Amino acid sequence: MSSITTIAIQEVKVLFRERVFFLLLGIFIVMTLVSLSIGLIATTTTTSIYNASVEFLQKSGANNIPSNPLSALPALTNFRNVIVYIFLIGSLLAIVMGHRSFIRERKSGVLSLLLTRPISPKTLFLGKMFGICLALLSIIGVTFAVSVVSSLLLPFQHLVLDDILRLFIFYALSFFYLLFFAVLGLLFAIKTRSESLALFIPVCIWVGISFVLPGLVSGQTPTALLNPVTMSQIAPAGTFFALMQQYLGPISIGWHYTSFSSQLLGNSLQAVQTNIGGILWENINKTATLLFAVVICLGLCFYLIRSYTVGEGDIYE
Amino acid sequence: MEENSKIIIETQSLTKKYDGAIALDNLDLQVKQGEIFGFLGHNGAGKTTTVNILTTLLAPTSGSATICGFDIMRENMQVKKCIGYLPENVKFYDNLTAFENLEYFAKLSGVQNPKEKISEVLEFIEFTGIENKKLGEFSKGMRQRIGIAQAIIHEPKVLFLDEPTSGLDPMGIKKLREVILKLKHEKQMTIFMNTHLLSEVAKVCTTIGVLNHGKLIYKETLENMLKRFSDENSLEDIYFAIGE
Repeated sequence: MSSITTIAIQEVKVLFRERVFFLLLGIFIVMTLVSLSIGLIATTTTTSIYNASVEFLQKSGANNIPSNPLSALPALTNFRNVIVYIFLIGSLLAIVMGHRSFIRERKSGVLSLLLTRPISPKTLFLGKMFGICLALLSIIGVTFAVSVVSSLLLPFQHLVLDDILRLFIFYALSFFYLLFFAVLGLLFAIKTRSESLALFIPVCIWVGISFVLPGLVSGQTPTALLNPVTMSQIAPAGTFFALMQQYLGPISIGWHYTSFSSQLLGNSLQAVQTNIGGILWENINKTATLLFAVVICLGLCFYLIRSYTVGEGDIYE
Repeated sequence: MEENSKIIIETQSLTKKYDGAIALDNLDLQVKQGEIFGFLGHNGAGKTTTVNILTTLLAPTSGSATICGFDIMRENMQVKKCIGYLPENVKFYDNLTAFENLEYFAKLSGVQNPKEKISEVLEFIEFTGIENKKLGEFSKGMRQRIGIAQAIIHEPKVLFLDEPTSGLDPMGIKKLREVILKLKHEKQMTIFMNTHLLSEVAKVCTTIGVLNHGKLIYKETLENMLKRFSDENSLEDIYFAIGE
């Protein structure tokens, strides 16, 4: 077994014994089920209101009755709340996971022991990253499975193969979105000498990515972002928002994630009518920006681990 | 006898500066194979900085050092293979068992049969029956013994101990002392020990080095030191006499 694998397995093993991991997993599963329930209840309620209206209109002698707007949307739409949960709660917990991954070893003094073993900083970095990826993949994988199985078990939630593929792409995208925040947590856990600062800085960045940038780019208030609204909103007319969208739009990864995800889960009629290939092609720039952000953070982490020296002023319990 | 005179740790004008402040000032030091070298000094004298540099954790500002003939900067992987290290106050992974902790370090050190080796090492330090207990349940003394076990699991030639008896109760100190002496006599290990406990130095060390404000002000075998300062009443008096 290579040292990279040994470090990765240790990372997962330690994470599995910590509350943060199970908290993250539990929240994801509950979020998925809650989202599905809310979605189903909303759909059922709206449909029953529609049916009552149709009955009333028919009795009134109306001939031109519009079709149910929800019937055109896929069953996948019921998962739309998951986007918001991952966007807000998942990313925050991913920061904690990445932060713990390095702070734990700095505080306990284990890092000094690791750095005196015949392993290179590259091995240590790759081992840690593989461990974090494995942990995130297990959370995402379980959530994906819960989504599919719960949908198959519910009588009104009929998923077709295309829906499952969309759901799979959505969770794959979510994995990279969460990975970005986990790496951000890791980055500041390596860089800063203070444990609280190591958590405070990435949380500030999270606020910027989750609230400030999307707000500026879309012209929406942060409160509006909390709602599972259709993300293909048109920014209000005005020079300020037009400039913000032009210059900050390309780097707003939070905005990219929510808009791409809502298209995948078919939150609008237009998104439903576009096939998966079309959606992927349309969002290739957004995906590339997210991946670029992940790669930049990974590169910075690698650089910091390479130049990391254990010295006075380090964190100890 | 010739084997014992082989130099295993050597530093030449080793210097470390932190933002202009000198932590280590042109340290020239030689430690022979099989010695238990007691590195004495007050708090902030530069003992931990020296160990951090020798264990490749910290780069020196200038000067050079070799361990087992390997340069600490250019050949740090070879240096890492021949050293074991126990820092002060190491806590390990609290949620994992003693075996899981030791297995991790054994694997990273390239030990072929970690399971057998862990049993062997725990038997050597007379600390068996605790393999499946979580480290979170361990006392400071017990953790320190696990620390020794992880440091010697790959049978290093040189063992660095940074204040190993710090915070231990008398029984913990006694047990640790026994392990250190056993390592010297049965494994012929060279031990470099940072400490400020003079009583411990007298009981285990063969050679003494005294560091004061980053400078090595005295180095002698324990035997010669006791002869030279025979007028002094205690080791403490000797320490202050050296300082003067």
